[in-house]
Amino acid sequence: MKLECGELTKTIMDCFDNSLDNRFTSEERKEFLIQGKKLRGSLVNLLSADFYEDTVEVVEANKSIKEINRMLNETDRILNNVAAVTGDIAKLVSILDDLLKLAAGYV
Amino acid sequence: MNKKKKNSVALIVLMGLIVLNISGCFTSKYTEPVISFQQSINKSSFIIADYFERANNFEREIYLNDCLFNSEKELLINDNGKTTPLLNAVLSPESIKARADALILIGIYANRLGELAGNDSPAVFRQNSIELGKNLEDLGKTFAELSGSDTDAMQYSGPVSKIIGVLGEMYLEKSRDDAIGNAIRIGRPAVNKILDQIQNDLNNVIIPLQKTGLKQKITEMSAHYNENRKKLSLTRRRTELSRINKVIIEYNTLLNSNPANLIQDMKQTNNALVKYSESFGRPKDFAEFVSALDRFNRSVQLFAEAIK
Repeated sequence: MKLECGELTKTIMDCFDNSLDNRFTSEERKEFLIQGKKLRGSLVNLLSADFYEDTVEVVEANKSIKEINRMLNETDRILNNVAAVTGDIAKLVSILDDLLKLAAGYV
Repeated sequence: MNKKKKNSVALIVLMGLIVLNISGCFTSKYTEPVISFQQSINKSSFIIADYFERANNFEREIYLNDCLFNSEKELLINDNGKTTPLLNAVLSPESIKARADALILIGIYANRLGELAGNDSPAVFRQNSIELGKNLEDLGKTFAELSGSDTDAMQYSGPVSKIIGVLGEMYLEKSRDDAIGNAIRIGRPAVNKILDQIQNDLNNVIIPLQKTGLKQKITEMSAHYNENRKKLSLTRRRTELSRINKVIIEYNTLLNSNPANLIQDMKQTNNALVKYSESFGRPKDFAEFVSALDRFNRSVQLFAEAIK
């Protein structure tokens, strides 16, 4: 099985978009850029990774990515709670880092 | 000239005309569309293979760009246990080469169809086929060897072997049109499988890397501009903005000219060609094939211009 890289790509694109949105403070924008780049680093490593079927960690990671994408779609919700959103994204980066050790093979 | 001699000359001329007419019919059905198809396949294979071959250089460029705009960031080969794109390949060169070779194989297949459709000498065609067979053996081995480390390579090895088999069978043992028709029909599933897999690799690996990479580059360059704009002279600001604009154009070209769409056109044309060969030259199927071929030719042209 694979990580849902299409969804992860969307998360990264949203982080980069937010880093150039002046409704966020300068610090928040920097944080989105940092997290976006970290997520992209994970994407580069995981894009071609193959996992054993039904790997729980991959299923959970896919769920987290979808949940974050849902949050990122609601601009008002992010604007009122940026720290929580960027915190969740940072947690996702750490989950994805751990996934690397579980890959069964690469393209 | 006596009457008997006149009749002999007339008979020779008549037989000559019949032979000319038969050989004309022999190649008229496929020659033009197959040669046009062959040319577009070759052009698009070259364009698409380039996307795979540039992947590692692209990642290194994104990494260097990140270092350029972050003075805190060191240039490293290994960053906290993770390899960086500085000297390491993100996609293994063997995997990239295998995909480029699979595209070349489709080009060879189209070339052989073209040669078969236009070749006047069965002996020359047969000799070329024998030489080609020797080269193709190596390609089959590359995919078989890769299957251990590159899990997606397994998806290629079946259809690659099939096309190699079809190419080996393209001798002029039957009539030329029969040989072409057989090669087209037998080759279709294998060609489509390779194209499906290439399309899959483009959509799931190459395009996400390029899309997010270019977006990161635009974002970093813009953030750097925003932070430093007040300190920059007009000339320097102009230069910075012009650089950002160049990357945005590259990004928009990628969004508007997804190479996976070119594969889609290639598949549709291949399917239309098979349908035409199966219908024994029905005009409606020929028209559909020509229309698919026109679309494919236009896409190849637009692509070639977009990525210049």
